[in-house]
Amino acid sequence: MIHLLLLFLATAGFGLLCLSRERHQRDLAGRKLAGRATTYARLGGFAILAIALLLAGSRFGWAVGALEWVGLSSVGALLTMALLVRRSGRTS
Amino acid sequence: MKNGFRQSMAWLHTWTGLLLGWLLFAIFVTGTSSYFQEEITAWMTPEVRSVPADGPTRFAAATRWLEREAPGASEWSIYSAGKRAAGLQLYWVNGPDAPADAPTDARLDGAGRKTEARETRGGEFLYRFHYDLYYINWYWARWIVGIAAMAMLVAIFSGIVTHKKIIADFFLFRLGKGQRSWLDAHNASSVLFLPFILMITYTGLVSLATHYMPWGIAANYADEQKFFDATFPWPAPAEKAGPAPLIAVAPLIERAERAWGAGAGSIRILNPGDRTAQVIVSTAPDSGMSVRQRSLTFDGVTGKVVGAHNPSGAATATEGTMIGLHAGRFSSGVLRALYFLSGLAGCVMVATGLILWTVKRRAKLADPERPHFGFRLVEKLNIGAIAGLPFAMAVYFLANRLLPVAEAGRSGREIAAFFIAWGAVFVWSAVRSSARAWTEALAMTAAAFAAVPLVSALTTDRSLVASLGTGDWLFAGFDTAMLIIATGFGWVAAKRLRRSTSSGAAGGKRPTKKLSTTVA
Repeated sequence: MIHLLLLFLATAGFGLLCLSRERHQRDLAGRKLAGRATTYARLGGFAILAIALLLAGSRFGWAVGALEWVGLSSVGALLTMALLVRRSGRTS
Repeated sequence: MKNGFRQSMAWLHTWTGLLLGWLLFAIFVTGTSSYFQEEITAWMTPEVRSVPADGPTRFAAATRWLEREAPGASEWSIYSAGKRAAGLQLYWVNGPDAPADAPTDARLDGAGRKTEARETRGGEFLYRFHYDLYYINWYWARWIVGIAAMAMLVAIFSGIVTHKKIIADFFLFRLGKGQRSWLDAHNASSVLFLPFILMITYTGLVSLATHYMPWGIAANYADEQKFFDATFPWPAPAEKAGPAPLIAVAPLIERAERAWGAGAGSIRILNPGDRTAQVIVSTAPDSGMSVRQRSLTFDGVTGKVVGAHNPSGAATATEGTMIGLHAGRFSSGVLRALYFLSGLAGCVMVATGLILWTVKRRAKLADPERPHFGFRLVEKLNIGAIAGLPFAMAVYFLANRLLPVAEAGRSGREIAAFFIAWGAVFVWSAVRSSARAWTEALAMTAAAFAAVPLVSALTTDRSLVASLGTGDWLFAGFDTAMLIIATGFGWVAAKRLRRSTSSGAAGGKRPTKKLSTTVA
């Protein structure tokens, strides 16, 4: 269960980071976001990834936790990319 | 100036990547499969039904078996690969009165019975190929693999420099755009998995560092063997002094495990049944992140601790942890799956990089119908490596099920089947047009992987259905993985087939293929 939660956090974190990119906003949110919303998305993305690292570290110990975090972050970023491909395929 | 630097890095990236890409692909694929080395071995020895038992009693049962089957031996050793191991591996050194052809090794299942499994090297063959290759001397093989790994490191760093929009294009993936899409796939697999790819390449070099850079040892030890004796102590049995009963080993193992807070993975018993007997208990390979094993030596009669080996020091710990990080033996469940997925990303990175070389140059060919020799060579080698190696692995698994079980030297034939299949794809790609050979080789690979669970179901009583019914997740998982891999290759083959027929109908989107086939 904790692995699923970590994967969800990694995907959500990278999803927000992706949302903070102007070129992807139209695909993901359907419109351009305001400057402030963009900043919040970026900060939120980093914060969620940091929380995931803390969670993984406290749960599995820092050695294994950090490894698991790196691996799940890669998968989360890949899922974000897949989501973006799906959504941009729909709009264009 | 900056542009010049980036361009020279792009050149470096292209040519180091191309020159060693085929070998790197093989190293990555077999290395990735090695994260499931124990599972592959278990699947390839279907006669062994491993019954879980806790460590100390398992070792005690194996000791009793050795007492019965190999009395008078000067040394017994019992190895377990750890929690995922399919049984115990036993070796012994016979005493002087034993016949010369007496056996010196056996494998026991989890219940302590001798297994009569088919002869195979299982997952170990793929693991060893990953750094020792095959058919050539391991000494030179490791140099070749090391040069490839170094080229990989060069390709990674020059690739990072070349990829100028590494942050801006982080999430970008453009589907169905030809060269762009290949580039995006190459970037996505390498950038998103960069931490793993950097780690695995660097730690891979570290794991053979004493092979590549022996000067550190040479500067401190007159004889290289002295260094290895100090790092990996391997005491020899003493002169025998007269019989005395061997102490029960289970309590000794329990004591060692309590002292370490980690599981035991192997025991060596020197002069069992003699007054000079010693019991050496070592940590399991999956008991910690570092691969450097600790050991405790007990007197084999009284059970007193007579020695301990605790590799210490920052350099040893760093080296041991880096190698441990590379092999991932400590990892269980999800982390192991992540290692495997990240390894696959590495395979995709190398494969897309190799394919990109041809995609980029195809558009610029002076005469696309008759590409120059270099271009054709790269195309053929790509097919042989990228489709050929997975095909060979599927054939290796099929050979395991199809070769007669009792045949002598069958493990060598399984390996021969692997290389014959691999070579056949190279030959096939050489005699067919590249476009056709790609589709055919990918389809063959898909078919071979799909056949694995089928043939296994026909030749053993452990089919996918039976495994699911009995809750045998190892066998069910292996068969399912074969089907998933088959689907992947089948999907790519079908996509190529659709595209070539549709472009043929559209007339001239890809005239290269049509013409070359009519010429052929």
